[in-house]
Amino acid sequence: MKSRKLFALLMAAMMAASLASCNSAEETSEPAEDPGSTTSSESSTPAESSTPASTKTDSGVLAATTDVTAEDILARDYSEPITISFAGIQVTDGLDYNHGSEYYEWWTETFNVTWDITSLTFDNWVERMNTWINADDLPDWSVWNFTPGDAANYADQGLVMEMPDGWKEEYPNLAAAATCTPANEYYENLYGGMYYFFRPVFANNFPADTITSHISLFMRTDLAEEAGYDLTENIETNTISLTEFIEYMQAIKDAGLMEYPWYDLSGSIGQAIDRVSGCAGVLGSAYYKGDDGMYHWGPAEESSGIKEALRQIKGAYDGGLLYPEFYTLQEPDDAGHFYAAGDAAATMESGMAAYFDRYEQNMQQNLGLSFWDTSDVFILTDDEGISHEQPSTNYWACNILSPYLDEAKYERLMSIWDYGCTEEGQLRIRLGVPDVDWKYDENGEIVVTLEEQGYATLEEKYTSCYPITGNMFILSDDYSFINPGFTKQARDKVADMYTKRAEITSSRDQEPDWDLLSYSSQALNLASMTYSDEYSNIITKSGDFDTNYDQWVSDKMSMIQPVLDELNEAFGSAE
Amino acid sequence: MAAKAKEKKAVTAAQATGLQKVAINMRKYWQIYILLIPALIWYIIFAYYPMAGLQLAFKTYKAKIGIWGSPWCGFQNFEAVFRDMYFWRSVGRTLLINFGRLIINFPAPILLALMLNELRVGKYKKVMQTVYTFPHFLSWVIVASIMTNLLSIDGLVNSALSAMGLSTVNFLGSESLFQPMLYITDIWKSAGYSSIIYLSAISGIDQDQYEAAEIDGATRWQRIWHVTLPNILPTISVLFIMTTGNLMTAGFDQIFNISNAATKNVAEVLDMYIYRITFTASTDFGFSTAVSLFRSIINMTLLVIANKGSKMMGGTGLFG
Repeated sequence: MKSRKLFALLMAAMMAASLASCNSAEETSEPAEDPGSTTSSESSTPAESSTPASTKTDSGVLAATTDVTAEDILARDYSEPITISFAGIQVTDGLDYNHGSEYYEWWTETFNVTWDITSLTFDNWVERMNTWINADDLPDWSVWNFTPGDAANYADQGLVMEMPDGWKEEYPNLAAAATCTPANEYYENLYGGMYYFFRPVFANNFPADTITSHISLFMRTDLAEEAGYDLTENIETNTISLTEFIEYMQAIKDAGLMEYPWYDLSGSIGQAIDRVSGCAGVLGSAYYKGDDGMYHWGPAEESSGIKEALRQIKGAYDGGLLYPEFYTLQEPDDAGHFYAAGDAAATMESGMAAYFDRYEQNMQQNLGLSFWDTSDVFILTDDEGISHEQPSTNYWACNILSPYLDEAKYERLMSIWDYGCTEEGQLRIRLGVPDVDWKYDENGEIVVTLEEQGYATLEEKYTSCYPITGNMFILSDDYSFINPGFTKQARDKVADMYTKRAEITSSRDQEPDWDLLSYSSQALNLASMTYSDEYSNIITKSGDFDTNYDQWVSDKMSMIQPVLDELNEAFGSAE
Repeated sequence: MAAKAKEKKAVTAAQATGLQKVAINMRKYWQIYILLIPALIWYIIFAYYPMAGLQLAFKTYKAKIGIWGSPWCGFQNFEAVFRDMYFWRSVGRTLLINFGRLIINFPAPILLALMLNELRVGKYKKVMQTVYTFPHFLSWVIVASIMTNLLSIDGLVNSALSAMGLSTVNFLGSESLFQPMLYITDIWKSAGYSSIIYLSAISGIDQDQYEAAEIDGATRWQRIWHVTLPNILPTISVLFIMTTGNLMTAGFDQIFNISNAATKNVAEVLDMYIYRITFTASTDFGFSTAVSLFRSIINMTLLVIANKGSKMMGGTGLFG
């Protein structure tokens, strides 16, 4: 209970300081939080697992004011009832987001709004949103998986609403939160107006001075010991190179402890290659600007390390270290082999507190083992100890509004978003109903009372609290670092891993390549491919690896070269 | 006078050709033609009117001004399509898979119908028919999942092979087995349902023909060969022509669900190509429509050729 109070106090202090840290131009060079001193953790939400890799926390900060307080927002006139249509993923079909929950009814009653919700799935999200936008038939508010080529076109045609002048002054809390991802400022300048509200992954609680991907290797350390493979140094730094990782699996296989030590999805194999190669993909591509100022395609460059990484993984596959039909696995098959079947020694997984807790719980239940005693998490690196990734833009998906949104709806929705970005709003979103789910004690400290009511998390008590408010604008990842719903051990581990990753990431002191991120053309479209599938295909192909790989590269170059030509003509700067 | 007029009218009807004949028939059977109106309206609204959208293949689509208002771009979209090596590969792959279907899958429901027709125990026949028809109602997602359970490295089939001391087979990740897998699953899923149309054609055969053949001493095989098959030949011809008209459509659902990263090189048929271009990159309706239009033209051409071919060989065409 004492630790809960401490977390709550920390959280309140962080929230108070946080938006200001995003707001104040003077503070932009400082990280919002010292990750080493926080007892942070993360929750497990689809948003998090899809979160892009990281950015520097001091980028993209606009000067804004927060003169408009939560009280000011609540004091506005909301007497006219309004229905707002919303389309987004992570919405549970059939769940009533308007009634039946004290948590939710506060929002609908206070703002006198009724949500008319359309649930989208990850499978139909892109297709349906593009169809609606192109049919000029958007719901009032939608969550869109931003694609630059379409975005420019949609903004140009007025298919999405452009924010009117003065919105930042009118809704300063929202404007302040928007500065937490540099994408908002960049695309506002690029398109000559604010059309897309990029939702910040981290806004109040930055896990490290450089945000990195949380994807980690979960490995059984007890098996290494049994097989006589020394992981002591790796456990100390929580890092492991691809070469060491393969040696580790070989030792386990040789000791007859596992038939196939590594279970992972095709997508995770792609991520593993990204981590150890020098041109981690930008938005699923492999284009990068080299030291010569020209754009290159990673797989075609020996120096990128992709070919060598693939060769190593191909060797692991042929040697029976990787599950032979890894390409047929679906999430969470890979995790199931680790924590339920117990026939996997390693798998790549989201490095979030919720996942640590889930692994602990499942391993206890299914294998009678403790995750913390038998396993550890590792950052995959190249042989030089560097974990490669692109600098993050610190956003995941964006909010868009219908161009036909009337003034009343616009004002109501913006007020809700604005309130959601205030400290009071964030407390209500993250902790639940004041005086019911949490309260201030006599010392003014926040006390979370969920546990007393028999609930571990807010989501458990209020199924419907997610995603409309939870991911309204600032994503739930932001709070999860200090969510007392997860064990302290898990939260500490997450914070520790973020700190360690920030030290060895290739993205440190790097800025996102906005030219590349925002580029679109027909040639780029035609050259689109799912890299993890391409890599998996090479891994599973029989015959000589070099011949297969070179053949693949030369085959793809016919569609890649036009893209490189375009990029170099537009942004190349050969010296 | 009345008889003279009647004679004149009869002569006119007999002499009438083409449109005149249609007009006369319409006057004569106007009640039946009225029954056609709802279907005709449906086709106009949902089949013919949307064809106007094909103009997008020659336009740069601007949603705000709609299909009709979008600016023309000539053959720009087609140029981009035809320049893409992967497009041609997908066309080749689609044709290859579908010619295989024509040879292997097309006869399957005919054979099944013939076999079911030969079953003498009525109840058993009905049970069998139900068993064979049922898979049609499973979605490809389910079928793919069943396949994975049966054919994966630790699935039922490979476990059985291992138990018998035989080496296991990589069914799901083998490029060379991908095409046969498509045919086998397609036959399993669709042959029963497709056989219904042939069974219905068989049930319409005059039983006297069988009796006459039996009296003449024809064996069961001879009855099938000389009575059943010739009688259902018109149905076979029509369905063959229609299948030929779909040679450029390779069944997106099936291939999307059955393929995986290991077999992707042999799985990118035209539909998968369109999907990749449309949904894994920025939306380009002009480009997608150009690909679709190309496919429709090829399908139409093949349909006309098959129709002519069928007629030339003395068979039945689509229009009699």
